[in-house]
Amino acid sequence: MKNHKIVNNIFNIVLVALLLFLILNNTFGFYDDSFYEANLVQIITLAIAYFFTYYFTQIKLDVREKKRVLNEYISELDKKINEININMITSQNSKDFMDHMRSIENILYLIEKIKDEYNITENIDYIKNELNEIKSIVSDHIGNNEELTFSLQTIKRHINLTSAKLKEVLFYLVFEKK
Amino acid sequence: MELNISTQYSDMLGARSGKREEYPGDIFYKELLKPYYLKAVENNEKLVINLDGTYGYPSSFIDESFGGLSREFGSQKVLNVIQFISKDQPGLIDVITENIRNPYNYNKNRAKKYEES
Repeated sequence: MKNHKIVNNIFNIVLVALLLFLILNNTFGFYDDSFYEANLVQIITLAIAYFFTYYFTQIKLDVREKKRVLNEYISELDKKINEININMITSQNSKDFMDHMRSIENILYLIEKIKDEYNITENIDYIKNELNEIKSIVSDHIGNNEELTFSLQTIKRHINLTSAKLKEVLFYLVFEKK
Repeated sequence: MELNISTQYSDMLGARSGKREEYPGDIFYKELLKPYYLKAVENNEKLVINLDGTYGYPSSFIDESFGGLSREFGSQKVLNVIQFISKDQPGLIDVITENIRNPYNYNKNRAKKYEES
């Protein structure tokens, strides 16, 4: 990413320098050679072409980069949700589960900030509700491993629903909703 | 006035209620949160609650303690006095604030879910 930016900057500097050279050479005539000659229309055409090419390429790159990061976050969320297991839940005071849930909620918190921009509000709200439900089930029975083990099937159902919804979000990020 | 939950209570919080060694929400409420809140009100100062350093906050713990404070003293009054610090989990402040704002929602939602299941 950093290398890409350096190359991009060098390319821009060279093109702007070339345009400046053409303008100055035509004004002051440093080189009396027809090879370097360009009239105002040619220079303006070149400048406009450069501006639009740069502008649209940059926008496309930004959009792609944002989507890539969002995809990564959603995949990470899916992975972490599927990692929830009975050992985490029945650890002392369910501390391993709570710690794991915090990392899940931190990712979700970031996704929530941009959910409207990507038209995934409904799905993200659904995922948040499912995760709250998982956390509430465990929270209600902390310390009672028998009850927690009994609730595992319900927790798994919520995990599966969440995971399926996350895959739906990923799908519609690539194949936009009609 | 500052209250640091992980150092002054526990870094491994329990459920809504339970034994002292399980660090449940009801004991935290009675022994720390409520007295600190009342003292802050009496001194006319803010109560800054540091949420960092724990393994995480069980929903029932939040409802019993912060929701309980709101049910007893009113959400607006509580929100005027309390401020939170949460670098470990910035979204947690929204969760707790929502619980204070709507202190009866948690139980209502849980009851509804149990009925559905």
